[in-house]
Amino acid sequence: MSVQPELAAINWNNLFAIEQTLLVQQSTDCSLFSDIFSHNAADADHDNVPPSTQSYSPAQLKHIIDSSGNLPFNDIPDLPKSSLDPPQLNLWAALLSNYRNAAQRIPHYAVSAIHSGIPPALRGAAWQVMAESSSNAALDSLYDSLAEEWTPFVKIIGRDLNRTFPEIKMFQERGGPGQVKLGRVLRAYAAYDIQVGYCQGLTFLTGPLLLHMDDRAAFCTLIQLMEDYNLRSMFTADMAGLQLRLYQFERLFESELPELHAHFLALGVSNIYASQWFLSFFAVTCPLAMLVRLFDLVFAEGAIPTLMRTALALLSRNSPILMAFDADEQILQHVLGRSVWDVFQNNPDTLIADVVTFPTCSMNHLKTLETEFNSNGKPRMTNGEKPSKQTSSSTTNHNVPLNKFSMFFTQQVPMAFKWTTPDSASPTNVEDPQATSSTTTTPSTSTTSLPSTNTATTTTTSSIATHSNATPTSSRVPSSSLTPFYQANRLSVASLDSTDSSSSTSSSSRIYSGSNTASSVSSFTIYDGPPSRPSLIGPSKSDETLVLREKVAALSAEVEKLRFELTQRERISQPLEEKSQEVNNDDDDNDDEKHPCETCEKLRMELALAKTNEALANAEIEELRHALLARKRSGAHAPSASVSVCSSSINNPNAATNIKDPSEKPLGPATRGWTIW
Amino acid sequence: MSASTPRSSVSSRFAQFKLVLLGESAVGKSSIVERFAKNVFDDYRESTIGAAFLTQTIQLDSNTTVKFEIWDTAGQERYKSLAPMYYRNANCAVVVFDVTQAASLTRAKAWVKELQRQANENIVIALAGNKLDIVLGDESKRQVTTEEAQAYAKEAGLLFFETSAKTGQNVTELFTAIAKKLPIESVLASRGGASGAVGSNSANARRGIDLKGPSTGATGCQC
Repeated sequence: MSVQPELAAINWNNLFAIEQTLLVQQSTDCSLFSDIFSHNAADADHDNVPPSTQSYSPAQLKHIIDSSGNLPFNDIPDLPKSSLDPPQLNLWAALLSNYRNAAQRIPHYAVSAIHSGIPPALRGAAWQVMAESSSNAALDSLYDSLAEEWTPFVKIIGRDLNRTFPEIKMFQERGGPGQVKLGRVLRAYAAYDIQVGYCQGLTFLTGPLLLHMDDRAAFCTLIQLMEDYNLRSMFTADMAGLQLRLYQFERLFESELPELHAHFLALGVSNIYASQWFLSFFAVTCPLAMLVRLFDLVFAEGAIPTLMRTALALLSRNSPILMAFDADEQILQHVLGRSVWDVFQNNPDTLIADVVTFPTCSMNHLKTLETEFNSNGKPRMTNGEKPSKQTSSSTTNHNVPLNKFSMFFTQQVPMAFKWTTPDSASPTNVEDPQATSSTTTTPSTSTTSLPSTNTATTTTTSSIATHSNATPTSSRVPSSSLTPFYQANRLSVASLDSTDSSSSTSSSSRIYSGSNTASSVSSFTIYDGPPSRPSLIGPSKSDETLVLREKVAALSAEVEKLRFELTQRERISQPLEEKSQEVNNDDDDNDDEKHPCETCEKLRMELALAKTNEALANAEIEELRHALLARKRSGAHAPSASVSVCSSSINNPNAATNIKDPSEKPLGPATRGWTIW
Repeated sequence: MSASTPRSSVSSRFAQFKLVLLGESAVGKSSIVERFAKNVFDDYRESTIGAAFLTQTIQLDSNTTVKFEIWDTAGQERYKSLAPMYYRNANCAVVVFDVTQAASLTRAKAWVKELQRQANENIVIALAGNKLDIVLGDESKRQVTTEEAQAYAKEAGLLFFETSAKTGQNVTELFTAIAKKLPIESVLASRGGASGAVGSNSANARRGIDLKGPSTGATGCQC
């Protein structure tokens, strides 16, 4: 097959010419698109990120498209055929070969092409380069072991596999390849991020990915969606992020569509219907051909802005219908049913054209609303109802945007982290090739109990386990976002610590004395109360922050170590356990399950305690950072480095890393230094 | 939608109530509602995310029509914090468990407890043991005996039915029993006062005109 000369290489002159035309026409709004990059501009580390590992020529893309006839995405009903003319092939070759570079050089062309829909055959690759998920080699290598790991969510994930996109061939067959892949991705994610674990709704987020890429890539991309694209907080144990999104949506609805908003208010329709939209990213009702177009916007322009814009576009286009309704039930039935999409007449272009006309969903505006939400400290209900006890308590605790700390920790902890294996000859570590690689990504353990657990362990254990659940190993989640339950327990543990450190220490030691692990007891009692608790008004806060961070790292190391030992134990006990479960025949149907293996139980307790210590250390760090920030605001002099850590780490964790210690290198492509909205 | 149109032309009394479905994941909540509202059963159902909403009207007797506004909630434990938003103004609730899953009854009991503590004081609660078709085919699959569930329901003051969304067995009966237990008379008498979810419909007004959702607290038709 001869390659047309014009398709042999990317022709930048042509790209620039079209960019120029679009620029003059001023018909393309790049604001959200560039938001993502400008958000990132201060992040110098990204200059070091190598371009996409794979380069494509236009001819190669043509070949990919031509041979994509049997790929799963072809199941999507009403999907247009990909046939691209040479200029389009040229554009996509440029975008897929080095997305960041191309997007910055030809933004208008890129945006207009993405708004018109990524060619289906290139969609999977495009989503991955946009999310920068393919560069995450460490995660990639962990995938298989994570997918095999036991977590308390295995059963509930299994129950949902058969209940996701049942109209799509790939996911129809019970136990078929589609469901198997879906299960693997979700189980791996649950093991990777135990604080989220599994939340119903994630299947719908993962399904569209699996229609366009293999499960390994889908796993990495899901992580990006959750973390960099900020969807994660909606799915944590207290779902605190959902309240924030509902608040942002409510305010945007009010300002963008005041008449309809007033109509809803008059009929007493509160915005709780949007929880279905948000938690499934509209997938429950949205036709897939439109849904994948929305995903194009998600990856290019941010998930939360797209969530908001889509909700507004949907309401706006349905406005005549909705205004004609005179009862709340009619509205609810309409907005929660598939018929809400009928107004777009199955034409994704109409939908996208509507969606991109809501520029008020900019990152800055959403940020402002977030600040407002945090300062209000409670969700705003449309009909003046008081939020319930449960929801209000969970949201008032969510005073701090999740991601500033989560990003801080993803970057910081592994940095300071020194993987030392006290007994490096231990068969565990030798046998487990994942041991070292996992230190960079710190997958959470899968074996801790959950709140409201029915485990046979003692009360103490379950409360400790709750702590561990609230804070994953990598400390990716700040204590500020922890559940109220956690907070309460944290207080009790903390007070134990501060009033009687010796008893706390001895209790840890007691638990560990029976341990057959080689880990040193002292490492579990690093956080041992006032003696080691740094003063918040002391002079050398940055040092103390460093010290604490090192402690976190040390604890993380212990946690990791325990995790691997635990995994080993579980491998031994798994077959037995499965048998006993079969006998029980699903009698224990809670999200958490008993583990018959006593040794495992003991290890779990140890793990939980280590994690508790880690969580407490994290809380300390956070307090310190707050104190530093407060000092900075009040104009008091503070060590400049640490102040920079506080202020810049909010959106720019890599910068924080650099300031703290210039010799530390960023994790490179394996971690994302930037947060997409 | 058409299924939910009240047969108001023949009824002189019309009452509307808000109903919430609760219960563990995958016990068949959505299937029960689908069977009730649309008389269909789908083997391939999507899991409910957030909550779904349906309405259905039943003719209680020759001159009484009851309309249910149904919030069908997601079952995962995690969604627990969202549940109050859905049951807050509910007049009645169906708490569903799976007769082939003992643990689902435990979960159902927890929901009942929560409702009795947090929801409307006079909420009518029905307990539904679903997937009856499975145990009728193979009794060994049963993990919750009728007697056990019945005894619990009696003790907790609940209506109780064993249902099969798949075959339709007892589904309409369940909702009819709830409708009969709802305080239609008193609510009609108070003209949509306290619970606010009910209005009389003797004028045969079309749907919606004289009815307001419970959350508005508005009164019903003043005819």
